[in-house]
Amino acid sequence: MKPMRAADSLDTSTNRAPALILARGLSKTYITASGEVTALKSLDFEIYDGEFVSVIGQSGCGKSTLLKVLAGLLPCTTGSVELGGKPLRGPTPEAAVVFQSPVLLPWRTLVDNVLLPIEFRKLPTASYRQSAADLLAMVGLTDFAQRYPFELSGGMQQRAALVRALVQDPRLLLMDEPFGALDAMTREQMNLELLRIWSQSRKTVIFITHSIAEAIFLSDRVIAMTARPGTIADVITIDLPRLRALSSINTERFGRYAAKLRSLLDAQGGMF
Amino acid sequence: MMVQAVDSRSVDSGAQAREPRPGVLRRYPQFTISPTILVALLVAWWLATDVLNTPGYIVPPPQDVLRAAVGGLSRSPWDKAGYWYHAAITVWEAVLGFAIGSALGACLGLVLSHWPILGKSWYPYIVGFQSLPKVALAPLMVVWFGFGLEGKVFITAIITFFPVLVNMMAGYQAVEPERIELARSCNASELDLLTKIIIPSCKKALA
Repeated sequence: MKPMRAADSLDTSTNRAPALILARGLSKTYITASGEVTALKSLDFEIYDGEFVSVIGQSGCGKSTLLKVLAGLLPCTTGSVELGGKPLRGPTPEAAVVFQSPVLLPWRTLVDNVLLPIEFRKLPTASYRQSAADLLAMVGLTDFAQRYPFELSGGMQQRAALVRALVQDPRLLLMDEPFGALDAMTREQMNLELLRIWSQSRKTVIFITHSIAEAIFLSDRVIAMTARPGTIADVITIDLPRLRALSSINTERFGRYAAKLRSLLDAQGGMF
Repeated sequence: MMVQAVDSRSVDSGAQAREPRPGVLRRYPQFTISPTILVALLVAWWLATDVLNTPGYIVPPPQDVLRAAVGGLSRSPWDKAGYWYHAAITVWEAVLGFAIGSALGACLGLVLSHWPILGKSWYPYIVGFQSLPKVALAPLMVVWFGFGLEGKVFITAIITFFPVLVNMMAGYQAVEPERIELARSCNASELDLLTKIIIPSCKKALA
């Protein structure tokens, strides 16, 4: 287990494909009534095509801010972010966001909710109906396509939200604690399902969480963040075999990663 | 005490001596005492006009009022001397004023919410104007518009305008910020944001 610092990974990037996301000196400062708040301070990182990267840190460490910057919803104050070699300016069809809550519109059926991004992007919805149906089938929601969100359980709603992100066929999925509101059992099921979908679709995923186990279980790499101002404490490569099952949580290596992450987060005086 | 008595009766029915059932006056005052009050008031009214012999233009006796009401209601809606004709005009004024007032209120509410700087700068005046009793404007309306349709439509519009405006702004505030972020993350146009997210989200606040 060799912890990989952001700077180290830059060196190794020469023999890899160019990074899908390249952040350099990324800072975000909010100007509030009570003064300036630095949410993110000089972040350097890169994320490669097909990678599953989790970002972990205390509440208020700027994880969500980072996600919004990567989604193009917030401009960064200083520094630069490149997506696919081009500077990121505002939201792009290449990145789709899965929010903490499903954010399904109650007056639309499930399939109409899934097709909402297509409508927003002024694409012909008719030509996306088939892929919407295929994706709904992939998460086992075929029978619910014509139902309304209130008829679905929390886990089903979040799966629909995932399908809504995937229907645009983005290269990058940005997930902001997507399973945080679900109960523990459903959450484990969703983690397994997400890994299955990820291995089938080979999207790049950036996954915000404050669960150490979830981060290790899902990820190729985990970015641990410090709080106020948010900086990168360390980037840990999770060298566990893919095709992970829930039982891999009980392995010794998993435990060592968890201990390492916990000590990193505890060093921030965290609540873990 | 009453509640206890009722409870014990329902638990062991008839085991104890029952409290006497309250009389019909106590049980249904709205069907017994209230009509009696009405009759008493009508009699007092009649006595006041008959005994004191007050002239009809000061206080008309109840039987004259009844005759006029029956006469007014029994005419056809196209008869200008009847009530229906004038009631139709009043309804039309109310509907027109309501439609104009609520449409303007909803539109302005959207504008003031969408550009917060506008909303914040106008809000004190909106609240101030809303707390003004609109009836106090009635004499002004008569001066500006005369006794015709316009003045009545105008005052109805003003009365409906403010509640709709304030509810629209409250509804806009209540739209989940994540719904707006979802739309923004998909490069939604301002028009799509308005028609597909904000207006449907606000419908509950306006209904």
